[in-house]
Amino acid sequence: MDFILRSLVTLYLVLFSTFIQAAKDPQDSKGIAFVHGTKDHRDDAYGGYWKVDFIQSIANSLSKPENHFVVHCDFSQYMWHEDAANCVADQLLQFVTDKKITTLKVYTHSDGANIIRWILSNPTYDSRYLSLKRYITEVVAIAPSSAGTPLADEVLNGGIFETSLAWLLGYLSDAVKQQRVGDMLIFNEELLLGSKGRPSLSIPFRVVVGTDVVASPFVSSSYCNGYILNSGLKIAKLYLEKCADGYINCASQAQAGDVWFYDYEKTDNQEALNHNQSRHSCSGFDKILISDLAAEGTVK
Amino acid sequence: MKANKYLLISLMVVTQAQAFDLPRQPVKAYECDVCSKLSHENLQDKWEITAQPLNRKISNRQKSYSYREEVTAEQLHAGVVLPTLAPGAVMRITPLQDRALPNLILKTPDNQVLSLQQASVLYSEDEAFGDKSITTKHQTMIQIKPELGFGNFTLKSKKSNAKPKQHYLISVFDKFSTSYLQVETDSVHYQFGDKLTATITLKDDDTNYTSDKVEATLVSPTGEMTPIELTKINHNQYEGTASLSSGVNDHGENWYIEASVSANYGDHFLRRSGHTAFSYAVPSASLLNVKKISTKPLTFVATLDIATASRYALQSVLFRKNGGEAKPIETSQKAQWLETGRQVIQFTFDNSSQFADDMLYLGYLRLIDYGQLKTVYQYNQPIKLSKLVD
Repeated sequence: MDFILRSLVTLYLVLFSTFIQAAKDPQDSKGIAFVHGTKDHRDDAYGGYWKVDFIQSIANSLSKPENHFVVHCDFSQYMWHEDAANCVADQLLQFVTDKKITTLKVYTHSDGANIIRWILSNPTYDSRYLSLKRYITEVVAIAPSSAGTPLADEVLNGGIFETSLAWLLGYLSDAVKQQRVGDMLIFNEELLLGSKGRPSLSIPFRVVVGTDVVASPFVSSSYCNGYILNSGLKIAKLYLEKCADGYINCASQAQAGDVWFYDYEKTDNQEALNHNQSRHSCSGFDKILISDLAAEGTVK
Repeated sequence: MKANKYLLISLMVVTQAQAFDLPRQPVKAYECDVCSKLSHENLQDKWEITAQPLNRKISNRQKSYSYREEVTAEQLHAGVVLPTLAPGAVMRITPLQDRALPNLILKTPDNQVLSLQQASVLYSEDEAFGDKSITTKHQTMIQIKPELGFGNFTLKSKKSNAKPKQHYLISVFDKFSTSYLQVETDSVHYQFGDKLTATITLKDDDTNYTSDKVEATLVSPTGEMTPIELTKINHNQYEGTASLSSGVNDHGENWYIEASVSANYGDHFLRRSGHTAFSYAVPSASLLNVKKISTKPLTFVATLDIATASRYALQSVLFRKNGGEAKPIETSQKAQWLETGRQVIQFTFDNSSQFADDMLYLGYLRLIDYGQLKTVYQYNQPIKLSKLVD
């Protein structure tokens, strides 16, 4: 009798304390993470690749601003390489453990989407992938190179690597090879899910498409995140289709997942976000992402 | 451990006796330097998917409006002729050694001699565009002013002060031309022993060029190049074959066909080079059969023939047919380490809507070998569940 009474009291306390915990702040366990694009960003993902004001602007809108994380790995490798996908999985699992995160929203830029898509497409490759997948509720893929970029083909054509676009792509690396149009066609067909004609991913993969490069000394948006870099993208865009962000054609960006919006549909003054600007607070982009978080009830 | 072994044997006996036989492919072993490092855990995941069709036919056809040429300092000083077919072409000049470019001039088709800055509507020289680690490299990129027209441009260095061994790579992108080189192969996936057919086509909507030199090369992931002998099959269309017999693990990398063509029409000269990629794998495993062993939960077991011990993932899709075409509803992925010989993979679906068996199909069976990072077996046709039981 005594045992039954004690068991009931214990059960009551466990349930009651759980309710108190849950009622205290239901948003506390939500986190966000930023996954950079191609090249090795182990040292400069925070502040170099993703700009500090952009990260802080979004993080500060969270009910717990410290629940954000900036992945810093070596994406000069193929997506499946331990320095790429395994590094992402390790860092994000550590983050969710340290901060007791229960749900994670991931923002990727450029090739970062391919690394996350590799993890989400192959959850059984490694138990870390499967563990991480259970935390991720949504991926916002900003300017993803889901079908590659002709620029990677340009610099690798003819068996010689040419350095003329190295400022954008990095030097000859597996990541450049991976992002050739022909390679991504095969990877989408064989190893990655979520593109047309393939089983969809298990979680929403919402795409923000960058559509143009504006680099005119007379247009103020041309100066956001560096006029020189924006003018470089203007030249690189010569190799791309009319709808492109200076690095990736719109069709490639929209190849996997669901298009959330084309930049001009939501930005200030319907301005385009080139590939350099879509990881920065240009044309009100950070505000768009914050509004989206607010709609989910994740912000303060 | 012993119990698992008995379970495996009993599953194999049951499946072989009553299973749906799948097309069997001959298997071949390869030396795997990475396989033992892969996870040995049995892992399964499954999730609902959208009803989008999964039978898309893909092509690796790629178009090129570009060509490139490697020249020496002497050739550049003598003048390199660069034909274009439309105004507004884009050129890149890159030294292959880490040296600055000499002063360059461009002679236009109507014999104007201009500096590159004067000749271009967009011009970039040695700019790192914010990436300081790249500042030591030299390059020049221009878009030729449209008013300078098209035809044979001649690029020339002013002084011959560069070392003769200095080489430059000149790339010309004839952005607004209607003429392009198309490169494709008869499949996107090949396996050991397959014959590949490559088709190289020069296309032009406006002008009837006649190609006078066409070349194609097979390029392995390690950069090994094998020329392909081409046969003319149509006007400006060529075909060549190659037997694929590499037993090497490419670790997920792809193979390429590279091609180039030159052609002329009266005074106009055309050059193009392009490429396309294809996937090549050693068939390290084959599915042999599949059988349904339970309805709740909906469970199947597939029997495989494994030639190389590795981590394999079986992706499959559950379809629902309610009149019309079978539509995908759920996918399952099961991965496990498999030793050589006959092995089984057991996998389940939630079938959360509890659809009746007679509405359901199993299909889109794809076996990935994570040691090669390649799909080594696929059977796409949906199979009615009633065919997967006694």
